[in-house]
Amino acid sequence: MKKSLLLGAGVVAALGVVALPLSSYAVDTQNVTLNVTVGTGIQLAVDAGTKAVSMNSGEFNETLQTTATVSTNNANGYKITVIDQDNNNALTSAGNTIPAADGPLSAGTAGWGIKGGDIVDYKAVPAQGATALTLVNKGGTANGDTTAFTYGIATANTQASGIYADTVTFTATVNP
Amino acid sequence: MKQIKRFALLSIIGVIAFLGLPFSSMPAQAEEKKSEIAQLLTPTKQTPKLSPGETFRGYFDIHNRGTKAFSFRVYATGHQVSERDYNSIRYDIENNYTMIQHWVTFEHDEYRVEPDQHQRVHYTIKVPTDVPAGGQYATLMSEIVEESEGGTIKNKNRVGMTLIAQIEGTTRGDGHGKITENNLNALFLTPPISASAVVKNNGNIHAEAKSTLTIFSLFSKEPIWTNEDRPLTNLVFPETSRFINIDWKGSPRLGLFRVVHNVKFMGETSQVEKIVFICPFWFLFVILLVITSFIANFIVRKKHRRNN
Repeated sequence: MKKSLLLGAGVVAALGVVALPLSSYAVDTQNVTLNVTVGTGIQLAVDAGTKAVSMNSGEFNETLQTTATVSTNNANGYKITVIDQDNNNALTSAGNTIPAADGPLSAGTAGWGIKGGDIVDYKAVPAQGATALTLVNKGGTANGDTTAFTYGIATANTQASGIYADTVTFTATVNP
Repeated sequence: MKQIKRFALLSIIGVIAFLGLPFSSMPAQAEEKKSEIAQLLTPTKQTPKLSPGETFRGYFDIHNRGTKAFSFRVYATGHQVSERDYNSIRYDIENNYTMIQHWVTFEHDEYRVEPDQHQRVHYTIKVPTDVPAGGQYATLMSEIVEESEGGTIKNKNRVGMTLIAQIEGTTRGDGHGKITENNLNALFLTPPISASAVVKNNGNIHAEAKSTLTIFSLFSKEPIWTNEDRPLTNLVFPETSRFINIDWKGSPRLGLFRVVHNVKFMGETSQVEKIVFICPFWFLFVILLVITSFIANFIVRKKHRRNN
């Protein structure tokens, strides 16, 4: 009887000794707080810097396109605007021009414009100093939103030959 | 019996094979195709509070998210909205609220950044001592320098960070705004249920308009939907009006609700509450048809009784 009591007590004591470090681990905890600050960003990609087309006089062409891709985490969305690089928004070749014009554009009357996004009919790209033309005004975040813009170019029946060129700037900003 | 067992076994194998096919043939997720030239600007806006005579230093980052290196030039322009839907922006503008574009200088005018790298652009704002208190607005631009020549139309890629600054001093803020419209229709033929407002800032400092929409079922005080914990916030520049629209994107196509639209702006509050009915046009047509037939039936019966 004594022996078995002693044995029992020994087992209990042994268990208690084993449990001690476990019980002390149980109260040794630390909370770690993680703070991550995510800022807002806006990303713009505009495909291939230069667009070229060959035309004859008295023609209308709308094969040139530019694709803009926007990503942003701004909750109020973003705008894409376009404006001419300088205060001359015509396509120019030496002293000859194809003026920027609102649609409709038709073969035989010189004019060029842009459409796409929120712009349904061709609009003249504004010259520097004017209000930029808003092509896209979208609410909410964007993840690789792609919009294609088409250039419409019409030449006059007596359009002089030459390489007509102009530079336009696409700008992406977030909505306040 | 043997044939039945064989048939059952083959069927089980067949089902397993059929179910396994979509997973085995599912292609590995294709890598997102990167553009050649793509720039990411962070952050998208900064709102410094400045004092006359102060020199403020700030920065933004341009990340190259394309596959080719590019050069970019940086400069400041004005920032002015026009039209009350805030759809148009004028960058090339000079007025009392865009003088800050001339106070900004950059550490360098041009930078170059390799793919998957970023460039920090440091700028300084030197505020003159004799400037009026109030808002000042500019856009700090990063414009990629194109290296291609020739062609008919050349495109330029530009992103802008909006600088929304406040010059300390006596400003005309709260009390100088007005909520000129608060609109909530009683009938919607298509979702979503929405409300709108127009606010006017007559002060000289930008202010936020906060709008909330709360939807209740007819006989309950518990809202079905609300954005009260995250009000729609729109910035309104001085001496401009802004049109604000808020909607309940989860609107059903049919229902009768109690809707509350609340707008807070520059110390003013406006609230509109209405019973709103939303239903497709054909349903409305059916209701009208039923009502019309009841009325017609009633008239015919009355006439018949009179004649008898």
